[in-house]
Amino acid sequence: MSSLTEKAKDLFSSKKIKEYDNLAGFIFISPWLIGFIAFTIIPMILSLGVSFTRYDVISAPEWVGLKNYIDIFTVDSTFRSSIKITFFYAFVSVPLRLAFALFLAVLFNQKRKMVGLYRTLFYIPSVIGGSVAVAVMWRQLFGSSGALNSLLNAFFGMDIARSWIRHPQSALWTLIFLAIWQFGSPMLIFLAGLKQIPGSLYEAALIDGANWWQKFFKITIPMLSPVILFNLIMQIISGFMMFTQAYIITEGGPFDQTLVYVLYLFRRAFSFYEMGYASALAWILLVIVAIITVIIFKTAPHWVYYESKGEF
Amino acid sequence: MKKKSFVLWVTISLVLMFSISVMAQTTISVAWWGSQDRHNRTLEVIEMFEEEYPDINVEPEFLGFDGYWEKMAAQAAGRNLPDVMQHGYGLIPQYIEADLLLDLAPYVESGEISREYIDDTIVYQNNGSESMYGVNLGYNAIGLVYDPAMLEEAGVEDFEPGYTYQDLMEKSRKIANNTDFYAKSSYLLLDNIDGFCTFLRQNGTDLYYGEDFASKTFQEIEEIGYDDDQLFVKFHEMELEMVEAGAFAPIDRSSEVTNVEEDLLASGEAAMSAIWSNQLVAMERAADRPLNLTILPKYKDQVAEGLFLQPSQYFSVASNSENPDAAVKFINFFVDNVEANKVLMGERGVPASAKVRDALIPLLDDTTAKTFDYIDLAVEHSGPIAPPYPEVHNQTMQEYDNLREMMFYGLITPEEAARQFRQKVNQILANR
Repeated sequence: MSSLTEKAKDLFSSKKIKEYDNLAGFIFISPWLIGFIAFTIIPMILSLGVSFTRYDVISAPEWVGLKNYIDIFTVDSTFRSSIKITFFYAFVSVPLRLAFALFLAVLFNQKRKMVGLYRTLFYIPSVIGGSVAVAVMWRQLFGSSGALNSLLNAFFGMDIARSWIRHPQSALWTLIFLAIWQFGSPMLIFLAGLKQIPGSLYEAALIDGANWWQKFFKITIPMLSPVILFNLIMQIISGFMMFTQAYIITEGGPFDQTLVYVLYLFRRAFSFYEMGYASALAWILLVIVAIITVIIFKTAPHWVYYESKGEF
Repeated sequence: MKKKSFVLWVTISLVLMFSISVMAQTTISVAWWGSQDRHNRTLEVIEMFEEEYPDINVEPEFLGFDGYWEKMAAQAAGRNLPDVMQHGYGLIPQYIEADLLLDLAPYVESGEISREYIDDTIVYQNNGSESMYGVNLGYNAIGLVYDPAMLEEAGVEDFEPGYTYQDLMEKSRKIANNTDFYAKSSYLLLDNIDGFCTFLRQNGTDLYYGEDFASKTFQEIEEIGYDDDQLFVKFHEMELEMVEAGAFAPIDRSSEVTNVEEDLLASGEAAMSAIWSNQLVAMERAADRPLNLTILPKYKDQVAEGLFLQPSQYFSVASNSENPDAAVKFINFFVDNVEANKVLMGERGVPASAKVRDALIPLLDDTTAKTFDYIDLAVEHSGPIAPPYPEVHNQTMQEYDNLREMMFYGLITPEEAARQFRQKVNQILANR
């Protein structure tokens, strides 16, 4: 009897259970863990090594030390222009996209008929993502004989043959416009955030005689600020990693005016076969994105309101 | 009981014989890129080859263009390239440079491959001996494709081979004046650097090799090949003039075109375009009306022909191949066997062998017959093709495209573009 209870005690001793639980936990998470190690961590370490070499894939890599990094910062003018373009793209498209997403989230937060349907419909552009279909559609809209020019002609009598996608002054803006149009995922996150704001706050404001704008700026925005922070960081990161849209719609042209950073990296790697140089570019991007994320986090205490006083 | 054991013995001996014959079989792998149509034709030829040579077993590897080169790069890194691999004019220098391909010169000497199938482009002279790395799978040439009905509508005479840039410009002006379509589907004479390279050759020089192709190998090239920036200026001023006259489609319209199917000639908005001869099939299908293919314009006081024939693809043998003899047998069968080529039907380009060509001609459909005729015409108006360009040519093309676009958007003058182009190319060559 006693041994049985001992055994039972042993079996249920907190230490054993913990070990057992940990093991089970690791087993359950192992598919992701193995994938993460094999396809993210190891390639990252390898790419750091490759970034110090000259490597054209088909012949063996040749150690060149810091040469790639020195070249990037001293002689590579395309690097500088692609950085400028990427910063412009990220810092123009992300605020606009977030503003638009917030606007629609507030709209869809109302209890109206069919609001569920609208939410789904407005999410669709984000599902399409950077597909070839979008490239074709964008060309139909902003091409030289596209819908925009037809509209301008019909309503304002302007006979424009400009290809907005290929013209150096407007090409990047068509990509920014595409980014704004694909506002679905931040919109959903905003919607979830809006649902969390207690109705009692709005009732109190109503009794005090606050108008819509006052409620929006004094209650909605502050209560939503943690969600805004989250969206801002995620979107800035993805803004810096933008690739597909530029690749399939403009191919970086005209004369590199839409050559965003990752597209430049891709060109170095897969059309010039300079894997070492491209790896160095990738590591520089990682550092840039990390610095920007840290800066945004540092500013957070000044404008983000946590009900729990910052204790997550 | 006896009967049973007899059957058993027969089975066992059959299995043994079979497995011995399998073991005695040599296995080679053959890789190529292409469309489904090419895959089907090539697989059929592989079966014919295996029937003819029962001791050789062929393992096919086939992919689309992009996936193909990624896979080859990975296999090259592991030094296990397929025994026979399809190669292209653009990338073969890198593979030769990295020592990945087998020198086929001994097989040509022993007569196992006819010299007829070795294109001069991939013959390298080193210290008096020649090395060869690829067998030509079919010829291809750039040409001017046009709609004869549209020319007639504009009251313009048909192109006579031997016409000049001046003739082309005059015809283009007439077309623009007399009709509401463009003369040419793009703002360029040719859609990439090839046009300028053609003009350089007509002036007796080359983008990299200068006046003498044999002066150096592609590894030894250190600076841009031509001396006179006026060539750059002259060539592009012709194009600029044509765009200004409304004869060539403006850059805004034509730079949106990404493939033959979208070309303004196909959509009926322009009367001419420039293509590689093997693209005629796709172009005519997209246009859905009969088109003609003729040679490129000549320069009025040209010192050499600008046009050239280019092997569209090669078969090469990997240097890591364990059965190079079997690989060579396969390649020779592929290019030399008439029955095999009746299956291939010039899908990779016009066959190099006159024997094969003559056998195919009666069997061709109209469009393919036009490409065969065009190659015959082009031969008469062609010069030698330049040896492969340096492996950094992709970067040169990128810089060229950028400068040309800036020029056509009026941001820089042709003189400035010429100066910057020279500087960029020299910089690219110095950095490799």
